Amino acid sequence: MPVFTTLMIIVLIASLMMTAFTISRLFAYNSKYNLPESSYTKLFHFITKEHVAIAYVLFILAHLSFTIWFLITL
Amino acid sequence: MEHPITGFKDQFFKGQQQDEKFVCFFRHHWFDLMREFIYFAIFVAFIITSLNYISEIQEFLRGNREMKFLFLAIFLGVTFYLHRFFINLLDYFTNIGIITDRRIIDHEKTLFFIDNLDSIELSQIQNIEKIEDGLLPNLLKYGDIKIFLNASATVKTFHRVPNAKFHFRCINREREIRQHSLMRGHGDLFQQNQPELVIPQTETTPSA
Repeated sequence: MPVFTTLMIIVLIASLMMTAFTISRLFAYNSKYNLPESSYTKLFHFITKEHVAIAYVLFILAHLSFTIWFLITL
Repeated sequence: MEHPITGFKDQFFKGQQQDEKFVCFFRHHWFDLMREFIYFAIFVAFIITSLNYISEIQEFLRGNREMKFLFLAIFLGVTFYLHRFFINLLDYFTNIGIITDRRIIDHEKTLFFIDNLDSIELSQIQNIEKIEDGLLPNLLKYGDIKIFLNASATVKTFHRVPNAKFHFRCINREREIRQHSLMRGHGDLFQQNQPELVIPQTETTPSA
């Protein structure tokens, strides 16, 4: 496998591991802090940290899928 | 609701005491994230523009080793920025201030690097100030809350508190309730410690 492709895949794996680690830290935080959210505490009155975590995972998966497609078609 | 055995201990947050009632909590105003959103909008515009020219970029990279490594460096930067944006967004949610019936807690926390706790007893508060200086704080309804403590020159400031008027009134109300309850408690204790007053009975001798 060419060096370029190998390095890109290493970056993708590190990115996935970072995402998993961040989500696990968020779960650890949630287990200690069970604060009652309201529209006054949410971002723009409706966004919670769970929404942000889901968006984070989706963005990283899209980034991963696109990069794999890019490497295949290169 | 109070647990029959453990009371309120750790009910809403780690460190909540057994008879400590949670009142409310707050985060920074969303204006704190404006810079992040602007940078992210620029980033998304850059990505969309790049996607429009993806076939040209692939053509350019084929067989060109140096450009491939330059692309790798840019890709690394893009990946790093994506992670940084979302982690900063999550850090916004973990940085909170908590008001209970006993104290105010400033929990400055991020997911990875920072975890600072500052607890201020309501009974130690001498004075509270709400500051909403400027056009944006008045329009967007956020401000600073300064807390002056008894017997020291310490001032604790909560910056960019959303709905600052509500939190100012909340802290004032809880402070008064706490200070009154402590004064009543001291009054009861004072009465308990007083020795019982006994009036001796005197015998009256009958006159001869």
